[in-house]
Amino acid sequence: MLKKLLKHDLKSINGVGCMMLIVMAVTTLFALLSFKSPMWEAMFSDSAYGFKFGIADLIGIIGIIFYFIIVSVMSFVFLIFLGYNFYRSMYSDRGYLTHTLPVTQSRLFLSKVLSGAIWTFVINLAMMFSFLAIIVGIINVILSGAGMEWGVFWKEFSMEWSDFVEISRTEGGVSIGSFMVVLGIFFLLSPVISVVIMFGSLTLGQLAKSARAVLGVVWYLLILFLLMLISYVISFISTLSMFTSGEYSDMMMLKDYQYTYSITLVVQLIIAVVLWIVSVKILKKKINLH
Amino acid sequence: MSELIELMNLSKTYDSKFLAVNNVNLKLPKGKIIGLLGPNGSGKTTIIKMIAGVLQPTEGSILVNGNPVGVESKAKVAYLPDRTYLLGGETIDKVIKFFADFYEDFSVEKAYEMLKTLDIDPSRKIKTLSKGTKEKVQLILVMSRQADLYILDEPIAGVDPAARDFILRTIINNYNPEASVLISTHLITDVEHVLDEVIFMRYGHLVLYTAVDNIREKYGKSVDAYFREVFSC
Repeated sequence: MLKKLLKHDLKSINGVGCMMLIVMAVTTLFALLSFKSPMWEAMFSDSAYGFKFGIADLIGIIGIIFYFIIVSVMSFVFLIFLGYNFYRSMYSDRGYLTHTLPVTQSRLFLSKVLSGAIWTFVINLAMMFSFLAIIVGIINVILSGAGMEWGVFWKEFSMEWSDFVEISRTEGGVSIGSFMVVLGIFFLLSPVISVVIMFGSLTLGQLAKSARAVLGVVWYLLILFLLMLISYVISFISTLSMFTSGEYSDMMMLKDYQYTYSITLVVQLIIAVVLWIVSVKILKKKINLH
Repeated sequence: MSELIELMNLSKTYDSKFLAVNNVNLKLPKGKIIGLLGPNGSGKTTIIKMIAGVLQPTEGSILVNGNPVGVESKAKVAYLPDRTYLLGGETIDKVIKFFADFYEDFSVEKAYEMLKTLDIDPSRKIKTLSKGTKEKVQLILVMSRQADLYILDEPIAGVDPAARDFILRTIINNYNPEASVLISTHLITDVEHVLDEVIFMRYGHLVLYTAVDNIREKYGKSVDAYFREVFSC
């Protein structure tokens, strides 16, 4: 039954998810084309004399601004859509069908979380590739302005990177490899965590007698605030302890980040697990559709 | 075991004050069409929702075919709520596939046959259907199952008399004879001729549970006339 649930839940997200990917691809392409405008060439080359700002440059700037607006709101808009989709299928009139299906409430919740997390992961991955494309685009503009070949750049970058890895290990006491592993785990788990927090909050709202959707959103904002607070406190304690120990350096910041990321991830995981258990319990024992 | 549904000391309180269902004890048999009758606010829909599993009892318990409300009971109960659960953007075809995926007792052929009889195009999107047609589609979905229990909450409210006839015909012609049908309605005259038994509810209490023939024989009245007498203001 989980397969069937997942199939239908994914179907209910596919349309909006694909639209998001198309929007991201188009805006990324548009932003990359923006780098072709004369302004960028003039900015990074020595022969900027006689450059006049034209319509192509204006479109280029709009393209870049548009890209950053889209990218900064995309994840949030998608999460709001997932919350709406979850609420509609579970607690609105559609719930009269969802909750009378011959499936357990825990499978129902699991399927919703998995489908939402899979799509969030895909959107995050697309965003990562989009950022990568933009970074490559910017480097390309800089290199062509400086008259440098990609091969030469790559060689220099590799050397700098090796130095950075070495310095971060010796001065900062951080292995870049382990730091990347922490970031990787964060990247893999954050879709599940963010979806569970959203769906769990909306489910907690069902305990109210009225205005359940509003209360669900209030729960969500409260939990986010709590997580942010915990993250700030951890970061503050970590930084403070480095300052007081007299070991602080720029490279030590990496260690600080790694520590903060790891602890924040563990805290988020604990909150997500608690919300998951509470949500399933509410679905089993407390569900009362209006 | 001849009982299909067993309600034991069933109560439901809203907002810790309003008692919608008050200590109801009831055993309903297999193979009957039972009318759940009562004025507005008598607790009909609350009882139905609790049997369907979308509302939790405050006290008491429910057994359907010997099972508490859960996965097993839901696999055997076909529920028609008093609202539309179909989403505007989906086609009838898509909803039929959804039902076929989840309910083993769902007959796709039967669903398309009924749609054809009513001249409803299955490729149409739900949002393009009239209110009455949506209700018919939902009823077709429910009656295309070979369930043990059909729970129909106000199936004929809000539709024209011709549609009412169709709905009642659909119920009679398509339900599994081994199964029971529980129909909640306040349009008694329209359903009276199809009912085997009736349950009268008032202020959350069970007032009467008897056979339709018993009312006719004992009181010399139709169910509608007797209902009016019992619930006269």
